[in-house]
Amino acid sequence: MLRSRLVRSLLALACAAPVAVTAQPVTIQYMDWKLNDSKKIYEFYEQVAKEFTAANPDIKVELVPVQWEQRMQKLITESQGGVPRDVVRVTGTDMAALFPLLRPVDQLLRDIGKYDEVVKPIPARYLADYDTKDGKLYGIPTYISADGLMYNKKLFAAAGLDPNKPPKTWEEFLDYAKKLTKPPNQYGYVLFGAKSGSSARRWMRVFWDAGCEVITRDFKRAAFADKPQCVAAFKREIDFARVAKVTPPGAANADFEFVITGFAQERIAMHMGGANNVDIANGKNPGVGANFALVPMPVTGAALANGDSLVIPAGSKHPQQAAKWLAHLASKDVEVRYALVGRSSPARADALADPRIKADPFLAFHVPADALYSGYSTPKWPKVETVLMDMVQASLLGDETPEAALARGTKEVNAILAAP
Amino acid sequence: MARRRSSSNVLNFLVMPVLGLVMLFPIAWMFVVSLKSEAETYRTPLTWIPHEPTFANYVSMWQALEFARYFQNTLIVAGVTTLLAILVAAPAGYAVSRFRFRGRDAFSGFLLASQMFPRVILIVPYFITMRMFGLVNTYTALILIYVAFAVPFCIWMLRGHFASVPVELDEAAMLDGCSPFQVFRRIVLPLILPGVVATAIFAFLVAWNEFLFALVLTTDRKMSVITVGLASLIGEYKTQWNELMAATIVGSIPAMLLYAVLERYLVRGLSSGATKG
Amino acid sequence: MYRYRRYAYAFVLPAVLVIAGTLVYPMGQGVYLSFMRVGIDLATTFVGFANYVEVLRQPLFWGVIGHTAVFAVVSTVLTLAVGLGLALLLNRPDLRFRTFWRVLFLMPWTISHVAAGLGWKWIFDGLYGVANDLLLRIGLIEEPLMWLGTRDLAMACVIVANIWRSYPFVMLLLLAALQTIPQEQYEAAGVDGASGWQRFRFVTLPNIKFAIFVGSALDFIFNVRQFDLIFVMTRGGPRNSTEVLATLVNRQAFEYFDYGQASATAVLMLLMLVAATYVYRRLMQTPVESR
Repeated sequence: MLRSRLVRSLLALACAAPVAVTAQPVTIQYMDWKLNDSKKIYEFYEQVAKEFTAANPDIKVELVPVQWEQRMQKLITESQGGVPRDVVRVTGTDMAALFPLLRPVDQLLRDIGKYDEVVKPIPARYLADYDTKDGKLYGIPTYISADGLMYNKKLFAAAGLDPNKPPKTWEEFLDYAKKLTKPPNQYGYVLFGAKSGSSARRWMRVFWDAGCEVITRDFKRAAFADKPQCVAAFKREIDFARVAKVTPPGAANADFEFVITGFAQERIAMHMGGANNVDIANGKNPGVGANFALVPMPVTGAALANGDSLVIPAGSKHPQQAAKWLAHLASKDVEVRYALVGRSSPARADALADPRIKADPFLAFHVPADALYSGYSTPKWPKVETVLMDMVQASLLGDETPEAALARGTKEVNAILAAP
Repeated sequence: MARRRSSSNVLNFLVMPVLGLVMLFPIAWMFVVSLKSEAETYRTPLTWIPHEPTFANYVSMWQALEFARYFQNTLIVAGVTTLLAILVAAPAGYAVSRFRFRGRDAFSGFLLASQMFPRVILIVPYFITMRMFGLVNTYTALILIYVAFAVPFCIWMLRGHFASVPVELDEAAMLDGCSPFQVFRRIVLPLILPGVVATAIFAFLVAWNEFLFALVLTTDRKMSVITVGLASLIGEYKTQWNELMAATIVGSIPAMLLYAVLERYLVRGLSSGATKG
Repeated sequence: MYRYRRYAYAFVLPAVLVIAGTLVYPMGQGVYLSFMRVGIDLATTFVGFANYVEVLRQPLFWGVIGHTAVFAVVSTVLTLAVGLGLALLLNRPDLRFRTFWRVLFLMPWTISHVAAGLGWKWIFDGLYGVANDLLLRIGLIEEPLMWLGTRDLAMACVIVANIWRSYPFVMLLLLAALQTIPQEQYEAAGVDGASGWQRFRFVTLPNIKFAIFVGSALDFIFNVRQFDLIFVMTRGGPRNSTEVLATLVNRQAFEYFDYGQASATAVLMLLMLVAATYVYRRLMQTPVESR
């Protein structure tokens, strides 16, 4: 009896050893493409990680840059291989496909006593539309931004337009665009025709602005040709390129790089963009950002609530520590500082109200809540997006009339949404 | 004789320079872009000769990427891959070319078929396997995969070169008492040295230029190779054209140097004497 | 030779081991997944041939087969022409600065597909591209062309870039083959008073026939598999006009996260390639095969 107790306590001692090991500092990994894209952001996170480790001496943070193009492939492959990183940035639209690979964060945040502090200040609708599945919260938005009409005041003045009076109606908009178009060196407006997420969200808003949806909110069928005004709005955009010719040629291949370069070179007077565009343009043509202004798009200002979410992969070996780091990144102080460095509007209402944000006209820009739309959070969205951009390209290239393209697209999208 | 000389002059002073100019134009243009400032890159009309040439892109690229480290990794991986691929492929190519054995056609057919499967499908199984064996973030993982990618092609390339050596030569050597391995190693292999060198260059460049598997199988930046480093200059919103072009040019230099060294073996002469016998 | 047949297995064993050890399992996994509905977390349900039916039913798939065939066949033929021409030039005994030229013409090969694609994308850029600038300056075009934004031009552009990136492989292979032609054969032909073309037709060509077969067959496989270059330059657009099998598989796997369909497409691609190579081999009737 005594002997067996001795053995048992020895065993207990032996088993206690690994527990002692886990009390040693743990290193968690944070994977984010922003770390790769910008030296400034990398240095910012380095600083934040240092502060975090000072406050939590048992957790070290390793920053893992990843390339934008490969971010999903990396996350998915590493998750499937059982060795994901601990905290990862994904885009809001990535979320729908990723749920099976993620760990819910609500319970984790409650466990460390940070739930209310992190989640409460974030718009509930955004959380519901992007980050929630079956009542569980899987991601915390790190910023929410929306596009507006970005225009060049200098070019406005040169064309005899009042730089402080951007167009308010589509008729006025077309009139402005015509006055600002001097081919081949300057164009009034630009359309995003290349297939990509950043193109798609600019076409989604065309339908929203007309009071339509792209697909129904139950993700059952296509809705972009439901009403005559939906078709008219789509046709209006296409006509900017094909009839009025106020956009640079080659719209079917125009991607963000093409647009922002033209805008930075002051060859494009108006485009649809957000706060971060100013810095990117400045990088291509130093100082040009001083000529820019940002206002809501005509007429309703409808725009996609667009942002990134921080998630914890299900295979993370240190979920508690990961949750602490996530909560730290989502704190008001870090969000405000990140917004200033990363040039994007904070997700938290209290961070948005911070005087440092309000002092910056581009960061303070926001679309009124009733004009802010969520994306369609279904795993089938990438396929729908392919059809959407194909309709755009078909119309821009003149393969089909906008009406015919929408009719064909409706059939294709319905088939996609009806499939199992 | 006079006609010969004039055709030589046409070759040396007209044909080659013109062809060289056409083929190298893209690289020359990359070089021009790499010497421009970002603002000048986007200036129109285009400047064919940079107005304010700068090596700043080379400096910033070198600082942004741990290029020395990437070079080292890539050279180790590509070098070992080349050696292993030739060691494995040369005897197999010889056998396929020389011996009629059961399964020969199936084997050489499978070699090609194994390379026809799209690589993207193989990534996840590879990652899972390599992780099982603890090989993620090791040179071994990349070398294993690149050898597997290079060997089938190398066998086919070498097979053709072996076929150009008359079988009678082997038979004569064997009558003189050489074992098949000695015939292969001492007699036939030296004869097709140009072919071996060309194949080695191929194997080296397979490893040198591969991107997808290097990206997925190296999760630690210290293990990155050049192609992965180059890709990191392509961002969500912004591609660093000038730095990218600078890095591309610097990144291709070691492969060029290697080829310049090996080129001397790509010559006739070694074979002509021997085949007379 | 036949007495030594058993040695053959010893000679091929290392190659068999390497390939079996590294390729068979992942490929088998790919074939297995093509019969499954695969979740992003790799949860699988057996669905029989449903993925194949789904893939074959899409009109896009057949278009993609066409684009792949055009891209691969045109690339392979022109690459062979360029590679053979340059190999013959670089092999001429009266070529001066031989090493210089040989190294120079190999350069495109040392540049990765991603970098080459980006370089060419930049050259063909509608606004800042040097292609437009050059053609405008010499007056061949009146206004800038949208190279990568126009359907047929986009295909032509990716083919040009691809040929540029792949000719050095064919060139090197043929150059090495040219080196192993015994000089005596030319000498014999010279005595008979053969013209340059006859020397090429009756001495050079028979000697490098197998190398031409290998070079073009391997290049064809590379071309059908080509992904990075096309993806970087056009992403398969505009309107899927440059979408090929490799970009389609990538889209299914990493945009739609549908590994089942991606694997099914991959298997179909494998089958078609095997068939194409088989036919090509029969057409070439390679001299070695009869030995």
